[in-house]
Amino acid sequence: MSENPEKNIQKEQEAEKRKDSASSPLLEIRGLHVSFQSRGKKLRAVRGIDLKLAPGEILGLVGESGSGKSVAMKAVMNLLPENARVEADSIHLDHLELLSLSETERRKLCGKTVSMIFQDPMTSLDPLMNVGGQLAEVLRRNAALRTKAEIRERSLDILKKVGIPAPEERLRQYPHELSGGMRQRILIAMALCSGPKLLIADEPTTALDVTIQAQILSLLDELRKEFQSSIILITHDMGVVASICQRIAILYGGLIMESGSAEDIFYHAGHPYTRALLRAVPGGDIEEGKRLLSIEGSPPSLMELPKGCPFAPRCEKAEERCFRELPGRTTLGEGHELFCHNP
Amino acid sequence: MLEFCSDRQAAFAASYLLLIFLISILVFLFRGLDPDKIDVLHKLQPPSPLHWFGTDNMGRDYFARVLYGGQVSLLVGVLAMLCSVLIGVTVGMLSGYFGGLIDGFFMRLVDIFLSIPWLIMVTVFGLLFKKGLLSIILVIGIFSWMDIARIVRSEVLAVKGREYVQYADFIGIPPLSVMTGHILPAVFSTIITASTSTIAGAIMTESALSFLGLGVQQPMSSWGSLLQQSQKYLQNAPYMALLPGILIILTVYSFNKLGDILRVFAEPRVRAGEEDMPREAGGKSGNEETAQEKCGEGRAENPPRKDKEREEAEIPVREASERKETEISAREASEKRGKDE
Amino acid sequence: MAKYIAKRILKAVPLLLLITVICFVLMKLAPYDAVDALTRPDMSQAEIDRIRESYGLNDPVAVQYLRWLNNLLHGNFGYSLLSHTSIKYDLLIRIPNTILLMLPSYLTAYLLSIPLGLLAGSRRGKWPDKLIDGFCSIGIATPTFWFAMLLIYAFGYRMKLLPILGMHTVGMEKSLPDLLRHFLLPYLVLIFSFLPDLTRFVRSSAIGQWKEDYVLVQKAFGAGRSEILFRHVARNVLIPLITKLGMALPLLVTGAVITETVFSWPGIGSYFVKAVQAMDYPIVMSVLVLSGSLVILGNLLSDILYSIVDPRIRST
Repeated sequence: MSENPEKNIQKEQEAEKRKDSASSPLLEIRGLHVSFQSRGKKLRAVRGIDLKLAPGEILGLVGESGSGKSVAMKAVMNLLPENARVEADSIHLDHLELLSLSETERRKLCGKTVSMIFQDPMTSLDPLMNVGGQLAEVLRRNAALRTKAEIRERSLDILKKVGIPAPEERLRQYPHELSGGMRQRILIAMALCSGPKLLIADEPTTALDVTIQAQILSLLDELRKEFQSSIILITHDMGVVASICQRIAILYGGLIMESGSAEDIFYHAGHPYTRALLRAVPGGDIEEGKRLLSIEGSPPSLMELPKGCPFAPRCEKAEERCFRELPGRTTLGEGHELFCHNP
Repeated sequence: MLEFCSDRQAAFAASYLLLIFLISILVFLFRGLDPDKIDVLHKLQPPSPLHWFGTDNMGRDYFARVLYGGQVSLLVGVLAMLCSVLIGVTVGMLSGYFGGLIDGFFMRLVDIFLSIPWLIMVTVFGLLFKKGLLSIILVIGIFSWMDIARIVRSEVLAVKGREYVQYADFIGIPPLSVMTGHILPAVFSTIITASTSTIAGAIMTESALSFLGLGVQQPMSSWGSLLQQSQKYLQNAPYMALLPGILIILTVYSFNKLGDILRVFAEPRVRAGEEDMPREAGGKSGNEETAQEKCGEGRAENPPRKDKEREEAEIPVREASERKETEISAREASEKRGKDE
Repeated sequence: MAKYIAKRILKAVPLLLLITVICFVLMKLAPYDAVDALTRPDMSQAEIDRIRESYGLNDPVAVQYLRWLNNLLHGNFGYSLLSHTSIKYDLLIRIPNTILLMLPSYLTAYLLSIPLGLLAGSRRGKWPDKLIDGFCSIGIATPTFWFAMLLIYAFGYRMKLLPILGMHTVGMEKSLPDLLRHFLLPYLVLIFSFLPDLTRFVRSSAIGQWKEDYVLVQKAFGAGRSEILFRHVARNVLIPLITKLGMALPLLVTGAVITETVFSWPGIGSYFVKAVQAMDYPIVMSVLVLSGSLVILGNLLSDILYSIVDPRIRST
């Protein structure tokens, strides 16, 4: 009898949680810092970013090389090399506080709750194992399938879903026998076979031909609808973001510069960096016919980050204050946030 | 330099080498140490305060003999290295710079030289020369230039693509000046690095040859020939085998270690990578890249290379170690010397 | 695959010929008159000339080469200049002895290097790696003959446990335990001489594999370290190691020159060293040709093994 009150409290808490889940974000990152120790030098790749992702949403994470976008997501997946140090106030994924989980528990989430696909499909598959074998391995682990027949059936099923012709034949083939687009589809199939709630796609189309890029992007979008997953799309390509993302966060020098809905970013961009990025997009429907503009200078060294806004040295509107202190958060509208002294 | 000293093994290797070279050069200053003073009454004496490492079969002070033997071993090592660097750099430069038929010919030659078991080759070549220190040096040099040639060739290929070399070619500077004036300085650190492990290999080879009686001949002695002589007295005077062996191990180990360390620290590419890490991560021509190229043109006709957006922070470390790893395999042959095979 | 193998074999033939030419030229370049080894100081010039003629040493170089090559193809390696015994016969006695020593040693070192190298490569920078890599660094710097001398002193002279010379005790040629006792020391020495190099190879190969993208992908799909190691990394590491197996073929004959000499093991190595010391050039040339051809055949063998194991080549 004495246990009852406690149980009741637990039940209440659980019920509350469930109530929350409808509106609560699938992934919520607060104050994420990642640094690397390299030969006695400290390299700060991510310097305190906050991110929120609603269930079923596609978030585009945009930035140049070295902006920390990929590192931040690998920190969520716990995939960083050993010399990385991750600090965060919280990383909440699907009602779990990742920071309080053990290594093993976090690993078990990978592939089940959250999956990731990478830039280069040519090197992402084990060259010595055929497609069937690699799929079977993932299915056995993440979808708890046991018998050979079950695995085969499910493999064929999922290959069909990602749009692979003649799946029976593919199972026997080795990665080198397949094209880049085909391999990326297979990787997507492997990532999706446990129906993860979150798929992180790290430049999934960068290494592919232009025509294949569009196919893979629309495949991701279809699959998101079918599996009701959320997707975080890491890219340096504003064009890719424009085609499928609902929300966008722009990163620079390990910080978020601006975040908001696709409409906010493309039509009401507040940050000079975002505007510079948009001017640099070739073709598309934005400012058609104008000469492409590049951003002068190069991104800051992560070893010697400036005190103030990292973009200040390249910013056309920079003033003295920008070099001195980091800008704080400015809210422009519902979900549209900006970090700039001088928007 | 700070990192260099903090690596204990490297610090040990460097100070050991410094010490052994100093001793070998300055050994004549020690009046009491005469390697050739025969004292038949006191032959095969175990170590004592008078003779730190005992005496040999003719009563000569073994400590002195080992130090003077070291002189010969190190001399052979350094000179053979110079010889092999000379051949290797020449072949590598010609191959890399001219390419085509010349490259094809030299690289086949390298393949053949590398494939035949080195001991057999060196021995057969040893037959062609009159016995003596010079021929040992030449023979070792002739059979250890292949790794250097390969490394230099690949470096030259990389340097050749750089703008200042192409410009020098364009304005009509003759190939020889381009090679010595522009390419050689650029590959210099690579040559230095490769030469340390070549010395190690040469010392190993010399000791093996001398041990087989095909190297340094009496009355001159090296660590290897001392070991050969000590074989006969192993039962009664095991200390005679101990010291030269330990010195060979320490010397070869230190040179190899030094090579490893230099490879990481003296590599200009690695250093540059550390200084502008994020730029380096973005691609080779980092400085000129603009945001437009990186952020806007992802869909342009050139599909970006694999390394375009790799792990930003990890890259420099990774490149350094990758180079190390590939060069280890290129160096395998030189390390194997003195071993069977 | 058959096409690939056929192509490799076709490539190997000219290389083999090239090796024989090089060997022949090398021996002709030697500044020693081969006839010296046959003559005695008291022979007259006419006698010397007759010997020179009868050994065919006056013919043009090309003729000598072709005759020699033809003989080789018929398994006729010629005769020792000193003992006048048939080299073919000598080789036939000695090759099995060398193989008896080399095969177990190399296989042991090979099999030991796999777990050691995988362990070190997968735990890079941790204490198992430091231990194994340290052992390799020292092992690589240690001259084989010095290690052999240590063992001889410890087991032969101090403990008097094992014999230190030859293959058999006189009068016990048929005794297996006796052979094993003779075998043990050179066996240990050879393992020690092969192991560091092989382990380094496996280790650096494993380190390389752990950096591959597919490892990261497997982690992202929830695979644990041991799963990745055994199901993916190990397989990818073993493939390049298979090429080592083919390249070890020449070692079976000429791999133990130093060890055989130290232990007076009656194999090819000690035969070769004695021949070199005596400048018995037909023997030296035979061994050189033998090892050169085995190198080519070994490369061919590893190419074939590769094509059987690696799906990337198998399918082409």
